[in-house]
Amino acid sequence: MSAGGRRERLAPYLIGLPGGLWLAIFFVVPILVMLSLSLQSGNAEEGFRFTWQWSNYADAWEFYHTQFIRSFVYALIVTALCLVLAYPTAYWIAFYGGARKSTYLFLILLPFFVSFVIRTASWKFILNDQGILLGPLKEIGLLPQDFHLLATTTAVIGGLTYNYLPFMVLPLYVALERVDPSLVEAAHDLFASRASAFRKVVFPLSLPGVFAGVLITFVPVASDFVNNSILGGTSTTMIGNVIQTVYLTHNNYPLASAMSFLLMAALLIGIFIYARALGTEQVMEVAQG
Amino acid sequence: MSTVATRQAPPEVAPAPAVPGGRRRWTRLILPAYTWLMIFYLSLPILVMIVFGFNDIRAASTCAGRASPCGGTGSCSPSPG
Repeated sequence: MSAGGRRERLAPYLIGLPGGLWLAIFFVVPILVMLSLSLQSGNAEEGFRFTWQWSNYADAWEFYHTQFIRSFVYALIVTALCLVLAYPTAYWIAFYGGARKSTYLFLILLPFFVSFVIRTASWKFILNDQGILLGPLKEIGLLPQDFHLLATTTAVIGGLTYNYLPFMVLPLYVALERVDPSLVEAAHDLFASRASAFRKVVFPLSLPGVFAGVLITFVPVASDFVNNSILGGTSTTMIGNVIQTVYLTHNNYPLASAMSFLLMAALLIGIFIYARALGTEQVMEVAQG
Repeated sequence: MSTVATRQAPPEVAPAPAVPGGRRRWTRLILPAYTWLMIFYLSLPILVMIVFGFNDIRAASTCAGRASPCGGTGSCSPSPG
């Protein structure tokens, strides 16, 4: 084989090499270290030893299954809320935004130039018992004096929905923007009402965006710990908070690693089921036209 | 043969059927209004931060009696209230 032919054959691998190396160093190695840590026993003072301690996984589930389940329930609710809230916005920008599409998208993304923690802390200020939202409502007697939002499920879900909304808007917008308006016109020409044109043409064509939006919202929401730390209380603790506490406060690295692995496994299983249910092949076919 | 160009009257266009109660007129405002509401909702915490960023933090500082980098004496940490 000539040198040129060999070079051509190797080109794809050479192009993929930097990314592959990056993944190997910063993803595969830490995952393996974490896997090894999750099977160790001992304590922070005397050190940890690899002892195939599978009971860490059983302990993680036994002690913290409530927080696992709660995180998944919150993630489901937040993802559904984000989808319902984001879809009309993405739809309007994609179809009626005209020359100002970029401006609207920029306005939606603008708040996210501010730190995640600062934005969440600001909600704490707004939802405070005597804050700018509840204070006046209590003063005019619309709400009882002992009414509060902070440290409730509503506050945590509200904060999570706020913080992850753009993660849903953007993929939906990209998918809707690719929908050919002439297809909608054709549906109207064939006497489809606006609702049925949306249901039978626009929505199926936007499914790749829905699929991507649900994935990139659900996964970080399930493992989020910032929103509950700032807006929640002990009754709203999520698994991310538990992992943080067990790792940084209790210094029980094996248990924290086991919990992280359980969370990752649960998310992967959930994504697999979701992909099977929605039919990724169909989604990809629609995306490719 | 000569032809005489005659200007033909435009065909009469049937007026659009009236939508009962002028429904279309206000319903087409729902989505833009919703989008602007969404933009406001997303910006609200930032606006609140900006407004409260003009608070006099020195006056509201809880001073522990030691020199602070923000001037005066105190620990420079704003009071929680």
